[in-house]
Amino acid sequence: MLMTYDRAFQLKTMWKRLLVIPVIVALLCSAVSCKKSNVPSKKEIYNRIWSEKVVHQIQQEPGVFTYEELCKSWGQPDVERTVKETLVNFRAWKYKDGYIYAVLAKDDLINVRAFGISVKQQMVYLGRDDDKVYFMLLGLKVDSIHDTDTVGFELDRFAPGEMDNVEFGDLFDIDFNGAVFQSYPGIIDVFFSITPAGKADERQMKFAEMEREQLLEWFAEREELENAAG
Amino acid sequence: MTSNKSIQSKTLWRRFLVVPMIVAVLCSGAACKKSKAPSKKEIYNKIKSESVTNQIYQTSSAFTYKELCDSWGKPDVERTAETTKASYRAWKYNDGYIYAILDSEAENSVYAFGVSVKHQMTYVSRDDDTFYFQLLYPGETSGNCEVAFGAERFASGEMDGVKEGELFDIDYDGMVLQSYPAIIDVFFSVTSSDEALRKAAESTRDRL
Repeated sequence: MLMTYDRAFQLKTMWKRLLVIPVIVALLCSAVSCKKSNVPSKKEIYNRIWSEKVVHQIQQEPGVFTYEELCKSWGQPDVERTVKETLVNFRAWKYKDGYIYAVLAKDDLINVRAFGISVKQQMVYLGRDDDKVYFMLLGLKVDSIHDTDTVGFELDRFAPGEMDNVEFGDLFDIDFNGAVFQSYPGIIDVFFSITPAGKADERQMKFAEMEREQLLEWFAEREELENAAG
Repeated sequence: MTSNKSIQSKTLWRRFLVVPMIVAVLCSGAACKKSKAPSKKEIYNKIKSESVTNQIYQTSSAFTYKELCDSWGKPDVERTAETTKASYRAWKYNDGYIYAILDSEAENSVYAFGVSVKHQMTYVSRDDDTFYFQLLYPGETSGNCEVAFGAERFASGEMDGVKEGELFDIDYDGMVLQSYPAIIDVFFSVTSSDEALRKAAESTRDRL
């Protein structure tokens, strides 16, 4: 009799376990999936930015998700860049034919401050001096070549030897955050990739010749100033 | 009684000595605390000597934005970046501005300083809600790129009566975002060049 009661009790406990454990597991899973859903997909971010039309960066409300959660969902970034001057961090993931990037503040690698889509433009190689490589950045407006900038990049921002066999007129694609500091030559603080894209066409070369002329004049003026300063 | 009198006089002397000493120590402590915020001149020189893009990083723990205001006074211009919503506070200095960028999550913390860049631009046209200018490349008289400003970024009536080709001075952080038309995320002032020339003449006269 006692055995039967024990048996019944055991069975009840087993049923309870069989019912309760899956319920707990289901609750945990749903909680985890709820937490995961706080991280937007790359597509969502891309569409949100495109819907803004004119800007290619959007602010991210703090505290919605952490950078760590973003990496769990998107994987580790393909490129990491830090702005030398303000130590702002950019983490970029390849997406479509460019990048989606997250902006983190200098000493806070937990919160994502903003998201952006990289801008792709073309550049014509102009020349180099001891520490910099110079390009003519072509404007975004397809039928206009007038809005060009001469930009310079420190040599140490390229892999060793990467710029050794490059010639005047070589064309490059640049993916960057779209910000150009307006000095002469201009400065692009953050870029995600610079890749060869063939040769500049006749029209582009005509303008590149003029830009190179101006750059050579600037080299000469700079040298004069340096000599005068002793 | 004599002994008591002696103790009282000793206590009095101690008070006379100790209280001013404590006050002096507290004052010097306060002065040390105040001196944590650098002067505008220090920041300006540091930026000009160290930075090519006119910006430098500031260790957030060095001093607070409030301490900076105690030392520099209230900023002349407050701006929020159109895209990243970063907060900019700018103080007039020389013929431009020195600006501080505040942490968007801890507004009392300054994370970078910058010196404004002054460029010229010519007014091109406007539509219902946007003004278009041609930003002139540094040292060039020809156009560099077309830039657009939402009408809400100017005071009401500020751009009324402006004619095509009119020249303006813009003080901004020097960054132009590449789109067509281009975007200047943060500017501190846009003034007609005539006005800028008049102000420059006034300040020269004041110095004389």
